[in-house]
Amino acid sequence: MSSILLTIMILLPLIGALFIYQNDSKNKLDCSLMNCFFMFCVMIISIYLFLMVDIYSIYDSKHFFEHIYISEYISYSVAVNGLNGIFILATCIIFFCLSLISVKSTGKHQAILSLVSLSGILGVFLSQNIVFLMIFLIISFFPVIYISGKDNLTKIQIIASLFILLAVSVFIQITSKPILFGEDANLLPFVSGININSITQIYLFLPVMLSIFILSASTDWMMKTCAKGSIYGGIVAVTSKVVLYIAFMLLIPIFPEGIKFYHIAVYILLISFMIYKCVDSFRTTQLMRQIVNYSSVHSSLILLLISGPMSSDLLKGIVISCLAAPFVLVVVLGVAGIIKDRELPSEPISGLAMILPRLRIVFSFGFLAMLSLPGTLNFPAQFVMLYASVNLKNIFAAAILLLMPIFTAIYLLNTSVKLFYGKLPMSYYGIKDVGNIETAGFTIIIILLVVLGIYPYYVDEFIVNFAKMVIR
Amino acid sequence: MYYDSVLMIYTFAIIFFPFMACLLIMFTMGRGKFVVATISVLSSVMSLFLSCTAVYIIFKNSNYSLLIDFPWITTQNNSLQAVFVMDKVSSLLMASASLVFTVVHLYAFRILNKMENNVLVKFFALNCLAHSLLMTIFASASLIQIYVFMSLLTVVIFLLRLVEKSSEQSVVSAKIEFITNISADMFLLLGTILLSNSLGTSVINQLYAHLSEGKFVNNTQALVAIFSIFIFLICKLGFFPFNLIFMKNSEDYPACFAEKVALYHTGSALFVLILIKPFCSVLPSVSIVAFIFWALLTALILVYRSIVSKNILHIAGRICFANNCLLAVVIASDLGLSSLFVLSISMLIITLLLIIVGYLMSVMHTIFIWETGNISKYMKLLLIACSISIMFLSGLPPLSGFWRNSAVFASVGDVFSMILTSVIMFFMAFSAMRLYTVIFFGKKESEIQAKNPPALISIMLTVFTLAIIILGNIAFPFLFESMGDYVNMRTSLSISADNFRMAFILSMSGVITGFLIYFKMPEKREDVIFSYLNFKNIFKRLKRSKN
Repeated sequence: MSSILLTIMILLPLIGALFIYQNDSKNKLDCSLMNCFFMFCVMIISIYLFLMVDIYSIYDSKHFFEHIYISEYISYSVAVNGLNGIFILATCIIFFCLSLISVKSTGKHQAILSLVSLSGILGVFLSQNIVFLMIFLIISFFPVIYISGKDNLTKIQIIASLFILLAVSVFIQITSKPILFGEDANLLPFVSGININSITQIYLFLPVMLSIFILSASTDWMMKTCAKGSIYGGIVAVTSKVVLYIAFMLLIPIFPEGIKFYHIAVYILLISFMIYKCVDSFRTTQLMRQIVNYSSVHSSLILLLISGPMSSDLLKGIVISCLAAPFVLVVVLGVAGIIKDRELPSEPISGLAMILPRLRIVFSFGFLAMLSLPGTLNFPAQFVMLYASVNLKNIFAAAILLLMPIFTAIYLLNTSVKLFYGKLPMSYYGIKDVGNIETAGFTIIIILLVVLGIYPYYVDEFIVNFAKMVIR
Repeated sequence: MYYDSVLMIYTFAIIFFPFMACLLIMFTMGRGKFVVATISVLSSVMSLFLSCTAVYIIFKNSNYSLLIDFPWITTQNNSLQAVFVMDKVSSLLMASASLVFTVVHLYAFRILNKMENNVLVKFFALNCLAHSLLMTIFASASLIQIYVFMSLLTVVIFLLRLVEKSSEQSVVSAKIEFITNISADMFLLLGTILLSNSLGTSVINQLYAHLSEGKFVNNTQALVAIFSIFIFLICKLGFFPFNLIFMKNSEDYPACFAEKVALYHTGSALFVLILIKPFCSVLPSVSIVAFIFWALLTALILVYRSIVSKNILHIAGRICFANNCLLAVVIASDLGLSSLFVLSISMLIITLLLIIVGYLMSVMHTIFIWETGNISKYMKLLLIACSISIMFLSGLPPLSGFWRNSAVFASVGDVFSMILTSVIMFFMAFSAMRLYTVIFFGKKESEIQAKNPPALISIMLTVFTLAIIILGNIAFPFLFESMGDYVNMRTSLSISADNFRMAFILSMSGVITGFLIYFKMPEKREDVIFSYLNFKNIFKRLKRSKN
């Protein structure tokens, strides 16, 4: 059973997508319910895996490890370990909650796209081989590319970045000449001990880093597509943070020399990008654009931290931050998407506190989480990253970590106070608040954000071994 | 052992009662305004009762310190702990703050009919939550804990501001204050992390131990940490230039929310003033001198602005704020319990004065001092209560304000600071007397609707005033000297006879001058005097005389 459970987990969403595609029912609710059902099944499997996995091992080959040998350099290897177990569980919960939040607006297309995306993301987390990791990443980006619609530049950026990453990963596999010790030959670098010489690292690091950066920036920009429905925003939010998972899984163990060589150039690029995004947030009054900019700044900050001096504490903070970010983004983007759905083309919406009190409370939690308020999962991440940056004497990183909540508060406060506490136009008085099912979806995410924020020790246990292994 | 268990239960009960009240209010919001208000009052009364009992137990026995090893998150150098402490200082402050909240909740019964149900629920729920957070801060003995709960309190205060938006301007100033508070909290976070990193602990008592061994001296990181925390203190205390932000915000409230203003002044002063002691005891002496000078400068600006203002709430608020600045000077220099005792009394005085002022403004339907006058014949109870507050703020003996003024003189060393302090004392007494004289003995005959306050208000004011008088206003600080130092690091201030003399002369002269000038004085005369004293007009006159 355990030898095919992981593959079942990856394939189940695809089966669900196929099932929904085949279904001729024109009732939107049928597609939503089928979507919820498949998400729920995947979530149950992820909970089972989470409870069964040995969190103190980087990989547990005894129970949850599947390996099919294909060639000397490529093999289908999937496994659950302490780190990816928690990411898988978090992703499945988020997607299930997303399906609840958008139960009324999910049609056939949205359901299929979300299931395909989930399948790809699960493959990324489970994969132990670099090449297959890239292949699953491409699969997870199919929905994002489809969602991008008429934005051709973003489509090109995403596709180009993905194929560069895939090409480079194949090259890494070939040039690293993995040590042939049986089944572990093609496993991820920090497990199999792949070492690339310094010159190759310096050559390879730049395309890898640039493609990760462009991919991250493009997908963040894609979040504006949540105008079409809150589920899209959630899909893109989770996918953009998967890119960061790839960044810390690959860059730190494979390219330590490359990081040292390029870190000044990377710092200049990322800091300039962050300043640009901050200035854009101050200039705009659109909530969605500000949230997108926040996500971009967060992604750039993670890449900046990865490109600098590293310690196990800092890596731990980065991982917690990457875990927290999708939760926060799904909440705020879900709210922004629902508001967008209800907005009339005749006049802009404001004063929502009167007619959408539940949504206001949900957004408040999301907003406070974006400020890294104590009690939310972002706070332990920020605290540990700041602590580690101070320890490593990385002044830039420490300054950005301190300034980010302040700037977020400044630009987001104006927009959100006007949106919720401004004057309500007469034409909006009939609008209904979110229903019980949507509220349930938001509530699950918020409870997790708060509980893990108050007691992150449990998450800490999962990550600490991984962090020490990578920084060896 | 028995007292340990009792105090442990008391500590958590004091924190959790208001929190449970907040949750209960949110769940019973449909039951009516009276139910919601009653729950708040009961929770604050319970907290008050428990904290007074705790004060009694602790003063009779010894300090209690509860250490909980709460494994929040681990780093390479240390694991973060939650530390709760229940000692003389925290119990005293808990009791005072609970009394303030009780008074405010009782006073809010007056406005039950004027507020909508959902607004009222939010007001009481957030008040209870703020109460719980303040109690937790008082009981915290770790910097990280203090940061965590202070951040949460920043959010709660911001939400309270938004509950009853009086104007667009008040929303804007609430946002500015929120962002300023968040920035200040970031300075505290930076300081906490730097200290924790360099000294391996964030528990305050352990920090003292390191500091007494001189570990800060050659430690750049620790010095940067102290500087960050210094900035945090300046901002949170509302010293210049931050007073321009915080005073603006508190002054945007209409009269019926004077109790919120009262809560704001006492709460914000309280939880930060408690921090001055730990940090000022470790600051280098140069920093202490800078801190004292900055506090005095802020007090001078506030006193000046209270004199030139004609708005009753502005005048009262600025004098109270100036009082907080003077107390900051005293607490920075004096580590005895006396200063903390005066701080506790000071909070009650501020609450009393602002509630009186708010009530008067709502009854007289005016916010301007010159539209009131001669109400002493109508409201005897208010006259007595206001007299007590003004006496304290002016620094007249035998009340603790006199001890406060003397202690400020004892704290300052150089001539320039002595002159500054003298000017502040004189004009503070003058301004307080101006407010009192014009309202109660002014020339204009006010038209007021209610001749006597409602029974509830009268009882509340009477009990409150008596409590203030009985609780040691008669220069009791002297008696508390024997209870020992707060942190056993520095001796308490020694106040000389000269200090008492100076304080007395300046207070009396300010009071007498204020009374003589403003007794039955018409408004036009003040305008004429101010126009002569206006710097722009002086400059113009000089220019004209030269030409």
